[in-house]
Amino acid sequence: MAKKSYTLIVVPDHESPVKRYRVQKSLFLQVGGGALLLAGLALGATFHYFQVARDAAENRILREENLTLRGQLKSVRERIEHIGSTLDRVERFDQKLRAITLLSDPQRNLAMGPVEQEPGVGSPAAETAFTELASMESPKALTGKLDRLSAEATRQEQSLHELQAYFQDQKSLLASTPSLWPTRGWVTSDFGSRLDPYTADRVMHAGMDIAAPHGKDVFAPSDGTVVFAGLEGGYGNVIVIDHGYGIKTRYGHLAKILVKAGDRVKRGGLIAAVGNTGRSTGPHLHYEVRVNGIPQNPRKFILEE
Amino acid sequence: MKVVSAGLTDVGRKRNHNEDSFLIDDELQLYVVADGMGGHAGGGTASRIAVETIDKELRRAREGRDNPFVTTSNLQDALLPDALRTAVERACLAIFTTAQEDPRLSGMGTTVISLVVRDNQAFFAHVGDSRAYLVRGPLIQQISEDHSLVNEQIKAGMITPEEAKHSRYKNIITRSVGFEEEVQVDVMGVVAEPGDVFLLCSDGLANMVEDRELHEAVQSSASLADVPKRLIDLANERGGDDNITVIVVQVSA
Repeated sequence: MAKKSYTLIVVPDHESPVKRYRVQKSLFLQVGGGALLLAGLALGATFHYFQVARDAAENRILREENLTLRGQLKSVRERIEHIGSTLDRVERFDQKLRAITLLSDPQRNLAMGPVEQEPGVGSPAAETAFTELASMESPKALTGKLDRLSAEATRQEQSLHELQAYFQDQKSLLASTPSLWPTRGWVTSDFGSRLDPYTADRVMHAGMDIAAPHGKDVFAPSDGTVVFAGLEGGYGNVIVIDHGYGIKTRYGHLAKILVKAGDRVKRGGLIAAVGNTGRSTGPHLHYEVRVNGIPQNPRKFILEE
Repeated sequence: MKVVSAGLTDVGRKRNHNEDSFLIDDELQLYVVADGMGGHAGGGTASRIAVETIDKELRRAREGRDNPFVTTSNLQDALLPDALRTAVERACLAIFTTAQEDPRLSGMGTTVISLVVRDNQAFFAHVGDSRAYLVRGPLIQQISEDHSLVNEQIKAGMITPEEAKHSRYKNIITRSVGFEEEVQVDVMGVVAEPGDVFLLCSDGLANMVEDRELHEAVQSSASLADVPKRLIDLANERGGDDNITVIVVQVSA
């Protein structure tokens, strides 16, 4: 193809000479193409810019949303931990109830069937699982945590159902269980081996000492019959209540005895006042639970907080 | 309160002499059962010295400056528990001294269950495995706690009360009056109600007859005076393994 060219003539208005430019066609095409390319790029950039700008706006919303979700996750996690600790408490309560049902005689245990085996096997593992879970932070763990919690809750529910069914038949046993604090105060000496406050010898303390002001009310922790009310050597004024099922409770160092042998007492009924009679170093209640003659830790039976 | 009493002792079916002694002193309203043990003639001597010394000591205390037989409004202020304790301690020393002087009596000792009723208050002093029961309406309750090996075993959770009844060691007591120079005496006190019956007995009865049978005998007898005979007969029907002694004391308004 021959070299085509164009001539551009510039004619000014005034006296200056006319200018003439010769431009080759190819150059003209190149310049035109370049300008087109530039325009295209500019258009693309503008489009991209608007896209980014839109994303940025969306990002801000997402960030806020993320924050709220994070907050929600935290509260869910806290709630799960709360449920976990509640289940732990239910578990302990369940075990306590079981301890009570198993106290009287071995034949009664058999009546419970397979129920009594479960807590021994299942619970310690479950308890450690809860504490372990509490320290886990990853949200992925939540699912596993929830699964385990719901499994545990189901197990507890079933276990409590069995207990309920059992207690339905054993209302009188339940009524006989010394499940209340006989008086409120500081436990100054628990059940078990201790140093004798008088002789400092290591001796077995068959009960629990609850320090309370002189004259404070003492209540029967469950239904029963008063079988002794009077003086008894070093224990001063003493009450003994027979609750049936081989369970007897004893109260020592009383200031005042408000019942007499043969009286029927109800759970929560007022029976005496805390005192300092007998071999005692200050006003307190000596409280003892005996099952078939064997002193037991009174705490095992107390269901109150 | 008015007090009536009845008491009886029997050699049983297996022993050839009776080592139990009992005392009914209606003037002091003092009642004692003692079950002696040890030596050829020792057991009977020990229980006899015990009841005589306790009676003598309380009579002397009554004549003394601090008469323990004064009326007090509540159990804690009463002087009788300490007076009873002292009387049993003196009995212990008397038995021990006698045994030291006569080698044939060496090692003798006795149980003691004693009761003093004063107004509406009843006080007990107790060593060994002789028992005091309170019968009040439908209730029968052992007031004394046996100082016996099997009772210690029960409390330690080693044997059940059911096993204790058939234990070979049920005759072993952990405290006795006169075996050593001193003895730790348990004292108890209760407020008596009109109609209450206190029953004191040696283990010759307690080992043979259930608590509820004691209760039934007391409740169903036409006269209190019949009760000791009836219970002794019952123990003998079941073999009469040991000397049997019973005192019943009823208080009424």
